[in-house]
Amino acid sequence: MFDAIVIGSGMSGGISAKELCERGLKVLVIERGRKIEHVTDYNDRQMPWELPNNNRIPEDEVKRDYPIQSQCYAVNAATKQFWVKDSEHPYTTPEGKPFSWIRGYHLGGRSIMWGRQSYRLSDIDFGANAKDGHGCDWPIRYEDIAPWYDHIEEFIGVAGSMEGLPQLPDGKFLPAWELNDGEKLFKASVEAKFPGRKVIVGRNANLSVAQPHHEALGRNSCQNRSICERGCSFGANHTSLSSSLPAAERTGNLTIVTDAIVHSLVQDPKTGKITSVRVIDAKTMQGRTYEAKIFFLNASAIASAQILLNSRNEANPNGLCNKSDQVGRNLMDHMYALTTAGAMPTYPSDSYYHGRRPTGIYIPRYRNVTEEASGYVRGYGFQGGVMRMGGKPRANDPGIGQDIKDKGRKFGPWLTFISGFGEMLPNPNNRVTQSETKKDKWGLPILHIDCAQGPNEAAMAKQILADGKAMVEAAGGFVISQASDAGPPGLGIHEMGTARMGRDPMTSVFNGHNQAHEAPNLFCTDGAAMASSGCQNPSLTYMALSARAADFAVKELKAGRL
Amino acid sequence: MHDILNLDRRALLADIGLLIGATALPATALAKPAKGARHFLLAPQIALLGAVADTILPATDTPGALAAKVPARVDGLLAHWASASTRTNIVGALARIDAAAKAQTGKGFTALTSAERAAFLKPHDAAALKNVPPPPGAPKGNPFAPTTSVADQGYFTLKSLVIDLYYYSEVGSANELQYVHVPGKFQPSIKLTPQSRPELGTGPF
Repeated sequence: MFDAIVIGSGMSGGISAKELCERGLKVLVIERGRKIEHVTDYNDRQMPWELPNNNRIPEDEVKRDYPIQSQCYAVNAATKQFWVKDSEHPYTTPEGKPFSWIRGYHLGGRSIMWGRQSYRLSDIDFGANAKDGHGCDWPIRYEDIAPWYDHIEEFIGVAGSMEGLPQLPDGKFLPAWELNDGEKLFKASVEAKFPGRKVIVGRNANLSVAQPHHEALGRNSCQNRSICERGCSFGANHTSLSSSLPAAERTGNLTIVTDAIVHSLVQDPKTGKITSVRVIDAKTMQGRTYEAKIFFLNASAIASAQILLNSRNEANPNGLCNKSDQVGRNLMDHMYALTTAGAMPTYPSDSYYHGRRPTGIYIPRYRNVTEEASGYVRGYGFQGGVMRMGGKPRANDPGIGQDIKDKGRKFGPWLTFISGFGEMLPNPNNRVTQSETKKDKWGLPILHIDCAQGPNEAAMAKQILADGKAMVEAAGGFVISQASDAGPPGLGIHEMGTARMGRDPMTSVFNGHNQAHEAPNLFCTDGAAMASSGCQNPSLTYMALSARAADFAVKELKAGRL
Repeated sequence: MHDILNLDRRALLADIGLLIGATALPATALAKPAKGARHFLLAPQIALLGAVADTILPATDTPGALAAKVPARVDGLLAHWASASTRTNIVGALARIDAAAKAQTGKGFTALTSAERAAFLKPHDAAALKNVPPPPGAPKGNPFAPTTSVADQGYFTLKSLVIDLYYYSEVGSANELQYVHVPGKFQPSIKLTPQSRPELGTGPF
């Protein structure tokens, strides 16, 4: 019998475990994937020529095992071990409505490969549903979560600049990364031409300067290699393996079990409390049960919804904690891949930079904040960079011999690329359901993901591309390439919303403390709990909600209310 | 200022994306490697590949493709990375070079002198890389992985592999570009000198 069980060891589960352990609870973390070790299981020390097949995954293997995962930019031979095989973990989508579900099943989950961009939501986001009527009102506001953002930023280490923007609150930052000369020029032009817009350096969970409490966990300052997705032997980026799980472990209160796939939760019909978790051993297929006093769902948005759906029983035929019928609904992701690339002919030809800074530039949301929007609600931000072209020559340029070498040695023009990340509205028709007939190799129902961007997203996408072009041109550049559409939903890898927080048990699944309306000792603090998506990268918010809910849960437990 | 207005805008970003495997030809049984084989190409094909790679990236003031062991590494990719259709395309591109050399000069490509090889390959390369409309239903690219549709997709793939393997080799990266695996501090502004070289990237970002 444990005090607490945390289901999932990724971005949010690692923090839930740490916070619960630090408050004296005996905690079991259940991870469906295999155990991997910090440092020894990473391929970040290999030189480029030491990677198999020049860092490519064999083409037939991509087609057979990774047709969806390979859509993600970070999938290559050096990181292959961190992505699920689509062939082993199938799901279905309706004809013509693709959803790219990018996953990593191993200890630490996607925290190993995450993009590390870390932005706070603001009251513009927490108040958005109430303001325009989409989704249900968030049960919390910025002031409820602000101290927990502080707490998480200090622990994980977020490098960033203080900007004083209402739509993107400042935090407890490590020294910000510096902009290169091209980015400084781009910033000056865009901010001069569009007074409501700001170009700032991306806030990211890489240790620009490691603090003593980071070093105590074996973490070091970032070395500007920008191969973070391989796992970082310096521990310079926050992951469950470099940071949250070691912090949990040093309390002496942590137990981890891997290769344990959660089948369902068991609820006591009299008290409504969850009593245990049923798991299937991924290797032996044997079932077993773990008991605890409180339970945290941190399996990731879609998987946490699946656990609730699969926990259905006679009294709850639509799934556990699902009287609202909102479990599995309101699936959101950020609109992604709306990229504009432009050449900057007037930028200085004698300036360069050294090192691969592990973040880019960020343009915080301005639509429906400082500038009006026509035909859509909510807004978007941009991520990107300004960098020098040059280096390895292109194969499709005609030329051989010395021509190729000359091209490689020559510095090219500066290139700006900015990619819009747009907010997707909560829509109950975007949903995840379980197949009644098809099962995976462990006997769990296969999921059906039915999700599409709607008219609000389409109008926003058009404006993202128009704004991208306008900003490149305002900075003296010309567009050389532009996306035509957003990527498929899911590819933003920010899926969320499938078991939302809210005040009303009839329209939401979890309350303002991430506590299930229908099971007082069950908490969910991953993407599933999000009532809206904002346009900011969401992991920081999941972690802040995890710490906040853990604090509440322990107080409730100690008060004898759970 | 740069002479960028003369550049092909569509091609300008091509090196940012990962290589898009060109798969225009159907797979053939011929393109299957023997199980467990360390080599895919036969000895005469390896000799031909060596001659082509040495012509694409010869030793000049810096070492070339042969010093970087590019032919053996291309052969390794054919054995362990390439699909049957990619193998067919690359083998086809090599065969087309040899056949065209024979038709034009009366000698196979490997039998030519270095100067003759270069004189032959330069126009062959230009013709092979001429842009053509993509076949109907071809995957759409994006700004980070633009699709390339040229007259000889097999040649494009072959040349891409030769260039990639050279620049990502110890010899190529050290002599032609700069690569520092652990840069340490990020230096946001550096004044270029005539000796400065672009850094080898490690990924799309």
